[in-house]
Amino acid sequence: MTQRLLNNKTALICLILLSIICLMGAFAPFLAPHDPNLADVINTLLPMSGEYPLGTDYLGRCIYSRLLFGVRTTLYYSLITMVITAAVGALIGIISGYLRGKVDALIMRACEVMLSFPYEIIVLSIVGILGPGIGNIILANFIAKIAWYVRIVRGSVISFNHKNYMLYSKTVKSPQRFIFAKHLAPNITAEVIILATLDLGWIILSISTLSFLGLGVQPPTAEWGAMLNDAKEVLFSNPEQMIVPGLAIMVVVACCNLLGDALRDVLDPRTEHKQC
Amino acid sequence: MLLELKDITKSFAKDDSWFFKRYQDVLKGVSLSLNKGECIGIVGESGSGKSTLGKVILGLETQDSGSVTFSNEISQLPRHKAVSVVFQDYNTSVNPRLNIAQIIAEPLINEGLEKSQLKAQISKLLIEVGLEDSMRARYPHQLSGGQLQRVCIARAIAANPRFILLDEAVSSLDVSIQVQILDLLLELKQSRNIAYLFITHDIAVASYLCDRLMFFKDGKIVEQVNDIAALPLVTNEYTKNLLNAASYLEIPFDINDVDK
Repeated sequence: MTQRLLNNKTALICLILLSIICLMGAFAPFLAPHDPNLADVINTLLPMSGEYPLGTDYLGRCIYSRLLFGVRTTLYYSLITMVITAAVGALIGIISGYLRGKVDALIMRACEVMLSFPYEIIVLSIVGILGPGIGNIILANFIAKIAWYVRIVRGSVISFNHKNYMLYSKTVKSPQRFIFAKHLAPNITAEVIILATLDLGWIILSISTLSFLGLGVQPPTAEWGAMLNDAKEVLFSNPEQMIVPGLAIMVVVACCNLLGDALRDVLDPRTEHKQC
Repeated sequence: MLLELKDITKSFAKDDSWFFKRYQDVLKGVSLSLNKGECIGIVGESGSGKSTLGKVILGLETQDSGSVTFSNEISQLPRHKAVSVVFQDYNTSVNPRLNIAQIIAEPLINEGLEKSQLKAQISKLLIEVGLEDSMRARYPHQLSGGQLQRVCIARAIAANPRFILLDEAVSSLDVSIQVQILDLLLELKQSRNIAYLFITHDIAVASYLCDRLMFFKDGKIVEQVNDIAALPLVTNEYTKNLLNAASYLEIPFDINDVDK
């Protein structure tokens, strides 16, 4: 698999880019030249310079510093949301697909109810009821997305359970842990990773959108969606203020989507050329 | 006697709603017995219940009534040493994420073989089924259909089982490969004294491999042929039709007309 990953240029470039962005977020206190939340009314809306590499916003805060610290809120929280949702969703999906019967029927009906509401309505309702804040955004995205994971994993478990190699394992009574570790887990993990990577871009957009609407990360915390919200105050006089956070969101979301697509090939051994 | 089926019945729900259920009888009192080292062919059209019978024998489906009894000798063995199976669809018979060595290793791991023993045993099995040892590191998508079916056979015989169920095991292969696989199965049957239950819709293939044939229609055995040489003497109308259709398909035109 490592070889296939190294051979896939798209996956490799996206992975390197995302890793660099993550590391920049992790080392933000060392890389940022200024306090990201420190307002300086004398130095508002400054252009790019040695002291302020990406200029300052309408409150005189260093955009470069806010961009670096914004990785923590935008990307890290999205990653946390994605990991929790995928892990819990996969677990419930496996239970549902494995046990079938009444447990499966109950879980599926609950999923159907959740899926019958538009995603945005669920997120906005939960944030509206519980109030703004990153914890509530993570919870809202988790609730809105988990049904997808449960359904997809449950479907995969049922489909894999009927594959002939699973029937063979059941015939010769291979231990359950062997069946799970060798047959079920690798196949399902690959599907969940692909889905989660594609979903990561979606969650980033969701968190940024909520912050843009003032329902997400609260000021003065640096977050890319919130930075866009701040930039809209000077949309007509300084439109370039929108470019930096907008571009950052676009690059990360594009990387996530391209990585998800490329991982589909990387994680499937059948995509290799036939040798005979 | 190695395996005995007594009056097996099985039905599936046709309409499985919350308010009412309708059932369709798939097996209607099937009885047969299989001796050690013997090969019985279950011949019938698609949808006649042959594969369901196979699944009941393997324990993948539970019969509604009747009994599946293996001999004492078989019952006392660990399952992987007693029973094995080769399916029709070789593509879904192997996990695409495992290489050939890992696929064949499954019953050997069940047997508790050490890593060093595994390697030698896998090489032996690959050679026994007519494949090269160098193929062990390949993945299923890198093999042809015939090679993959040989891998499935290698896995099936790995733990030296006494009984193998062959569920349309050669139906997906082209005719020349079919003969090779059938010869391999015959060879293994003789060298390892394995009993086969060969489920197929192809009389020609069944008569090539099997000692006895049982004709299956609508979930029951309609005729049994204990001597392949007596195949033309069948009396049941359905069996006669099957035989006629088979001979018609085999020679659909006068061979002398080909050049015209």
